[in-house]
Amino acid sequence: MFHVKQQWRRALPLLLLSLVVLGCGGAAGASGWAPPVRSEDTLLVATDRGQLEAIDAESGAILWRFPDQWLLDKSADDLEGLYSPPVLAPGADNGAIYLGDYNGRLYIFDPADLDRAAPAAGFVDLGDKIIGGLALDEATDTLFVTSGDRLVALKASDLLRPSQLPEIAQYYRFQPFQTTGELWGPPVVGDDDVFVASLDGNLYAIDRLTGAESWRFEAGAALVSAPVVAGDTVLVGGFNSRLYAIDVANGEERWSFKAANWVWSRPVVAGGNLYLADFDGNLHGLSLETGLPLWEPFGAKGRVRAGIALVDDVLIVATEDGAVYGVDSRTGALSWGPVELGASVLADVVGDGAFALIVSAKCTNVEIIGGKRKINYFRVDVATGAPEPVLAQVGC
Amino acid sequence: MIGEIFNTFLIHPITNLFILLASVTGNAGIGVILLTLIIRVVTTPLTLKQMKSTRAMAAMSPRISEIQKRYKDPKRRSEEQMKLYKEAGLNPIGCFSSMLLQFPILIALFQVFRTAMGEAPESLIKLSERLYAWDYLRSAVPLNANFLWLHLGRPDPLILPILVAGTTYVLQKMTMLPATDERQKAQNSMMNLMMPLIFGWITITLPSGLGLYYVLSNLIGMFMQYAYVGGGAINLKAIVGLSQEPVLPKAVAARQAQIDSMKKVGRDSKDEDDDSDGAVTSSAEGAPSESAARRRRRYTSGKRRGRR
Repeated sequence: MFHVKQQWRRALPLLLLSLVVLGCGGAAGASGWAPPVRSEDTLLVATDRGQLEAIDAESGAILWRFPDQWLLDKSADDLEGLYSPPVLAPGADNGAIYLGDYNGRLYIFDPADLDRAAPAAGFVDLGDKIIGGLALDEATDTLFVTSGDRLVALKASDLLRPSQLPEIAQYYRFQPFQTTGELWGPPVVGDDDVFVASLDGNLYAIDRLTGAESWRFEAGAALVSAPVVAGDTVLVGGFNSRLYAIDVANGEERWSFKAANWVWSRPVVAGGNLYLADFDGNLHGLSLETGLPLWEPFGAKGRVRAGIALVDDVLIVATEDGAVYGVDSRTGALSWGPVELGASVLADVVGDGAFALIVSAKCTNVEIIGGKRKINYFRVDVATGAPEPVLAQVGC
Repeated sequence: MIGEIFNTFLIHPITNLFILLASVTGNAGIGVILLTLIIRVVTTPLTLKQMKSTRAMAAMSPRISEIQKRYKDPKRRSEEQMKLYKEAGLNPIGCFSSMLLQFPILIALFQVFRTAMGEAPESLIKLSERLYAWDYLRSAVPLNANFLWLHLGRPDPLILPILVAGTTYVLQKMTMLPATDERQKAQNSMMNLMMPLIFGWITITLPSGLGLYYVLSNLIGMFMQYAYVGGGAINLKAIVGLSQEPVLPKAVAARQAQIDSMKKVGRDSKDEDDDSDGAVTSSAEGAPSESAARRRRRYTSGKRRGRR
C-alpha cells in the first residue's frame, strides 16, 4: 500500500495539473469589440472571428466578407481581434477601407476590387497590436493609428496601393509618438492636436502636423475611454472611476466627475450636456459646463463597457450581459427595457436613424420562422426597444 | 455551487491580494514573489504535517512490507495496515493533505494570473468581476507585468520551463525515499525524469507568472525539506548524475538508522514473544517507544486469546 501511495503521491500533481491545463484552456483571447459602421446603404460589421462583413442595410444580405474573398500575401495571418471600426478613405475614388487588428497589421483593401477575378488587399505591419484604433485626418491626409504604446501617423493616400508589402517607415508622416502605456482608446483629431489616452495614466495632446507633444494631462490611473472633443473641452474616463473635462488649449482640468466604478464607456455629448455610463451600470447625465448631475443616475443591471448612443432623446445603454435599456435623456427615467439579447455586448452602440445598431460579442440563438438561427448583430427600435436580428450573418 | 465557493473563497481573495501586492511594490513580479511567500507561510502547518506523515510512513515501510508478505488476503492485509496506522496515530491521507491543497491554489493562481496580467482587453472585463469595491484596487490595473525577461501574462518558451523542470527534479530527489526493491527503483527513476519533463512542458503553455510561482514554491520546498529532514551535505553528484543515490545522504542515513532500530526492536520483541503473528506497531516518528512496545505486546496477546 505504501508503494501504491508513493506512486499516487507523485502521479497526483500530474493528473491535477493536466486537469488545470485542459480545464482552463489558454489565455483569454482577443475577440475584439469594433462597433458597426454605416457607409451609405452598407453596414460594415466586424465579427469576433476576425472578419469584416458588409451587409446591405435594408435587406440584410451579405455583400462581401473580408478577408475571405480577397487575395492576401501568404505572410498575413488571419485577422484577429478587431477592436476599432474600419475607416473609409473618402478621398479615394474607389472608397478603400483601412482596418487594424490585434496582430498589429493595418489592412488596406478596396471593395470595388470584388469585380476582379482576384481582388487584392495589402497590409503593413505596425509591429504591435492595434486596440485603440484608427482616425483619419482628411485635412492633412494623415491616418493616425494606435499600435501598442505608440501613436503612428501615416500618409493615408500613399497607403492605397494594395498587394504590396512596403516598409512601414516610408509612410510615416512623422516619427511615432511614444507613450509608456498601451493605447486602448482611439485617437481623436481636434483642431490643432490629436488626442490619445494611455494606460500610463496620461492624456496626450500631440500636434497633428509635427507630432510634437503639446501638453499632457496626468490622471494618476489608466485612461481607457475613447476621448471625446466637445468644443474647447476634451472628455476622457479611466480606471480611477473618474471622467475628466480638460481644456483643449492647455490641458488644464476643468472639472472631474467621480462615478461608482471604471469609466470605460465612451461619453456622448449633446445640447450642452453629456451622458456617460460606468462599469457598475450607472447612467449619468451631467452638465458639460460644470460637471454637475442633471438627474439621479439610472441603474442598469450589469457592467457597461459599450459606448452609449443618443437617438431622439433616448439614450441606449447595453450592458456586458446583453441587456439593453432605453432611457429618457431629459429625465433619466426608463423609457423601455431591459431587452435581453442573450449575448454579451462590448462594442459601442451606434445610432442609425430610428434604430440603434448593436453587435454582440458572441453569437446567440434567436427564434425565427422555420427554426433557430445564430445571430450576433441586432437593430433595436429606439421608440419601442424591439430588437430585430439581422439574419444575413453567416459567420455564426 | 462549487464554482461559486471556489471563486468567493479562493480566486477573489487571491486576485485582490495579488493586485494589492503588485500595486504596492509597483511590479507584478515582486507581487508574485510575495504572494508565493504568503501562500507558503499559510500552508506551512499542512506542509509540515505532510513531511511528518511521510517520514513516519517511511519509518513504517519495513512493517508494511512485512504485512504485505504475511497476509495474502487483501481485506485482511488492509485491516492490518489500518490497525498499524491507527496505533501509530497516523492518517494515511496526511501524506496528501498539503498536495491536495496545492492544486486548488494552482488552479486559482492560473485564473488569477490569466486575468490580472492578460494582454487582451477582455481579460480586464473578467478581472472587474473579481475586484473588491475598493478604489485603490480598481485604480491599480492594469499591472506592470514585465519582470526580468518575462511578461508574466505570457508563456515563456524556454528559460522558465527549464527552471520548473530543474527545481521539480531536485525537490523530487530530495523528498524521494531510497527504493527498497528493484521494481520500485525503476519506478522512481521513471518518475524522477517524467515528472519534471511534463511539468516543464506544461509550463510552456501557461502564463509565466504561474511558472515563477512554481519555481519559487519549489525552492521554498527544498529549503523546508533541508531544514526539516535535517542537515547533511547535499549530494550534487546525485542530483546532476540522475542517479538513485540519496540527495541528503546524512538525513537518509539517520532515517535508515531509525528503521534499523525499529527492526531491531521488532526482532527483540519476537524473541520475547514466541508468536510473531501481527508484530506490527510503531510510533509516529519511527523509533518505537516503550509504550508502543507495550501496546504491541497487548495487541499480540489479545490476538492469541482471540484464536483460542
